[in-house]
Amino acid sequence: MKKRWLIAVMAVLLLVGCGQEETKKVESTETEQSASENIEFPMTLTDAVGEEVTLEAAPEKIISMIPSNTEILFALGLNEEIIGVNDFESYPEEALEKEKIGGMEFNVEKILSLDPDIVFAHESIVGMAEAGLQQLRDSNILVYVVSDAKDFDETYTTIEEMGRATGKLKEAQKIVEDMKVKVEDIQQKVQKVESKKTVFVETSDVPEIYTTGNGTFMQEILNMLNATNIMEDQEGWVKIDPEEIVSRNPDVMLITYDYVEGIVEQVKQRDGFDTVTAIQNDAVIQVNEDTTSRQGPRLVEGLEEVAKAIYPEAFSE
Amino acid sequence: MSKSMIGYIMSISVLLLAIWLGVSVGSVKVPIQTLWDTGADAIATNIVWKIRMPRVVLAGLVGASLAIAGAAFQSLLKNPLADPYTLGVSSGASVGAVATLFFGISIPFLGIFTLPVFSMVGALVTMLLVISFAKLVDRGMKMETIILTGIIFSSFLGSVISLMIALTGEELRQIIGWLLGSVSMRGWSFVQMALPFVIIGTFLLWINRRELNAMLFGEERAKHLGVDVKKRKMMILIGGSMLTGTAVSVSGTIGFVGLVVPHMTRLLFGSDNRHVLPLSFINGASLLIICDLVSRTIISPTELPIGVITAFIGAPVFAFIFFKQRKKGGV
Repeated sequence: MKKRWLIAVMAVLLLVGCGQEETKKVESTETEQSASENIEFPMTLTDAVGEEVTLEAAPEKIISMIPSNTEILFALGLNEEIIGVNDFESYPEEALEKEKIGGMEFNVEKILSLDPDIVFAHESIVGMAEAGLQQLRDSNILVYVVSDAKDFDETYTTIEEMGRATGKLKEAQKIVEDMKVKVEDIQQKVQKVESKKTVFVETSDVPEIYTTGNGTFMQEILNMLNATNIMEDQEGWVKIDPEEIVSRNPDVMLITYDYVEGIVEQVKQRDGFDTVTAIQNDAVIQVNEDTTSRQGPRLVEGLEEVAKAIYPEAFSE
Repeated sequence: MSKSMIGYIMSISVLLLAIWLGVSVGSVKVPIQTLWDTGADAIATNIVWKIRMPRVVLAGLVGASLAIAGAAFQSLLKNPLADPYTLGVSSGASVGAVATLFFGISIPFLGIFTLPVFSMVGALVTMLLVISFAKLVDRGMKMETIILTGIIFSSFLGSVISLMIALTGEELRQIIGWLLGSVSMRGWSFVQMALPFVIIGTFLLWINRRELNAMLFGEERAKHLGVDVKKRKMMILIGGSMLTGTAVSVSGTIGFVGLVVPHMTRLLFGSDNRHVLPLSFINGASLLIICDLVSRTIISPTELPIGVITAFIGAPVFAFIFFKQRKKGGV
């Protein structure tokens, strides 16, 4: 059982890795049978924390613990099956109408009362949610911990994993294919720009200016877009000294939050920031926080938004 | 040379050194000449004049305010543990400020002074409540009574702040960021906003320096010495609250300064309030300038919260001086 599953995974990876023409060929030979095996329940999957999760049938009642999972599940067309979501959902609209199971601290009782077939947790919350997840497992609720993707490729894998677990592998592969085409297109456009720009990403306002350093999704996006993050020597999310922004002098400033009204104007008027190239060239741009950080299908939108913000000239035609 | 004379010379030298370091050291090293050199690099000039200088000045004002307020409260209440934080006055000021942000209050007549004024009112009301309640519980107003009352009020006001934060939703990060305590990126406008109140508050305490000395012997004795206790006490409370409210409104909650600085000053230079007040003012400024310097340079370009540094530097220094004095048989 396990071995067959492994072969199936490898076949899928092969399929994903190939170009379109080759895909057809592969599909006709070995993949056809393994793909059908994939959607065959019962199946046993191993999640991000090494737990084996056995599904008897495609889940009909699904709970998503974090917004990125929710976005993927909706994209897979599981609108009906999703019965519970996080408090902080924002997309799609339909997600807002679903039952809420809590925010950072989820409500175990609520989840139990909804009697889900599977709960999609996330590797990033395991640290603080482990006890709660164990309570769910002890109550015989299937918990599948989705791995925390570091880049686009890992996100593709995540989408496919979730597709497999919900019997929607084909849909998942379609989403990933579409994403790849768009990413390719955006990357081609920015490759044409002559000079690489430097970027500062701001994730919260004064007095606590936080930025994204190495190892964040934003760093990955900037790398893909042929742009330099001026804080790439920092690890993760860090609170940064404002002087440092002025002295490193970015060409573009990206604002990824919207909790302050008129923030772009405020940033431009900050004391001492008037010598910064981004401010002189009016290149302070607000981008959507969700699409640039949630590991789901909308990442391509985020990528495009950031690309347009940094290299508007590449998208002018 | 008298002890107080040495105190002034030492304190002022330390303050000048602190200012010099505060202005020239940072993630970008800037020689002090940049301040007057017109031919200096534009970015460096900009950083020094518009980001670093206001920061140093503001840190100085906040530190000075908290320290002199702490010194006055300690003498007034004859309580070595009194300071704007232990008395709950800072929490009161925070409630005033958070309420202003929460309800989006802006009084046209007050303009940019709305926030500090509300903060001061919060501080003063809390101070009065704490004192009246402590008096109600224990007419003698023992040290523990006042501190316990302060803790009761602090916890209650803290929960009021938490409640307001929980209800704000979107602006939550703005308020939390503000509460954490920082003098970063406030600019000259905050200095302008704070300065008049710091001057008035300090003046109110300064003119009562002799009365504070008299009150150290108890209110009854002070009365016999010809002090109009009621009026003077009110002046001191208003002055102290004004300083605390101003400090909190421009920088959020920064702890430890009001407790450590006056004690250090007294231990080093004697406990005559005529000198303790001004010396605490100067030393408070130096301490916070240095703490801010450390907070932004120790893991540069990342910043640490300044409160971490005030406690980290303040507590051991305090312990060391306390220990030495005890060994000498002082205090």
